[in-house]
Amino acid sequence: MLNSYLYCVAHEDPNFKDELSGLDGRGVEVLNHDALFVVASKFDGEMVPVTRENVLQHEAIVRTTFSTTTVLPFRFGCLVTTSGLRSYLTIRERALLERLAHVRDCVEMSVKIIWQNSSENEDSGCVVPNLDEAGAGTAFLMLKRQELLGSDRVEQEARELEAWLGAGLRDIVRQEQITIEPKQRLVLSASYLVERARLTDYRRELGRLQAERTNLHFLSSGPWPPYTFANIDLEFGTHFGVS
Amino acid sequence: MSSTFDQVIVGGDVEALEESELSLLETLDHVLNRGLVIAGEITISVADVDLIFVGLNVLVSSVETANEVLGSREARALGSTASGESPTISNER
Repeated sequence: MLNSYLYCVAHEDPNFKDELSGLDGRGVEVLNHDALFVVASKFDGEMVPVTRENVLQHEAIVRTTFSTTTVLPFRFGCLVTTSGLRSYLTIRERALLERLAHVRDCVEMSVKIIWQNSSENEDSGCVVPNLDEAGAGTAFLMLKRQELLGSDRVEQEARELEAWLGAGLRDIVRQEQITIEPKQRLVLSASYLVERARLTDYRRELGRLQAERTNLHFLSSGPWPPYTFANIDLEFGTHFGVS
Repeated sequence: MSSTFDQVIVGGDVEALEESELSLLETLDHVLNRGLVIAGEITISVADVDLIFVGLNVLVSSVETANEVLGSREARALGSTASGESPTISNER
């Protein structure tokens, strides 16, 4: 049975100039349901393989649509039956239209910050207990205390980083979503919904912030279609693979 | 969502990654982790791609290991059939 593979939702027909080819070489269609337009293609199968080709094809279709109109991208791998899609759009039409209005004329910009050196998330300067002099229990507690103090310090630094970045960009962006992982090299991952008209301001301010913290490694990208700000439901943890 | 994974890419010299590699990783991060979900309707399988992604806790390995998974640099071409603006990737320190 053929399912529909979904790429994105729009509030108007993207009116593609050329025929587009989606996953598995299937033609891309625009399905209309009241005020919503869904970009989709037929898919023969129950599972969507995560391959470079499929991922890039999904992103390419979303981006092509995004070049003509406001979209809410679907996550990769969304397969539905025709009745399932109709039901979803009927129930969620208002929420989808509200979200489309929220992201109108906006793009998504991403910033990731990586601790430059491992020492930045280590508790340097702590006294190492003399394990020979301390008893085993005492030594364990001392090491545990150091570990906790180190963790607290690293977490505090990560939160300061979050506050610092937010203070610089908050007035420029429409919405932000920031995740910090103090114990990871990738300490901060931020997504910003930025009006196209303010992209220059955003890039200028981000450049200024980067120059302030030369001890950090910045990975910035964009503009993207608003993947992070598309979901109308509660986000669930979908870290791919590892829980 | 059901998936199987075989290998974690860990380690890390992000600075050494090529822009094309970072671009692919960022694309994966957006396309696989974010976006609209119709509850219970994400069905994917990992085929021919041995990687585990934790957001972009992409704990990326040495460039050589990344090459093994992503293909040789010479053979790789991201390409894009999309029109309009493409994302730029900045890898700054």
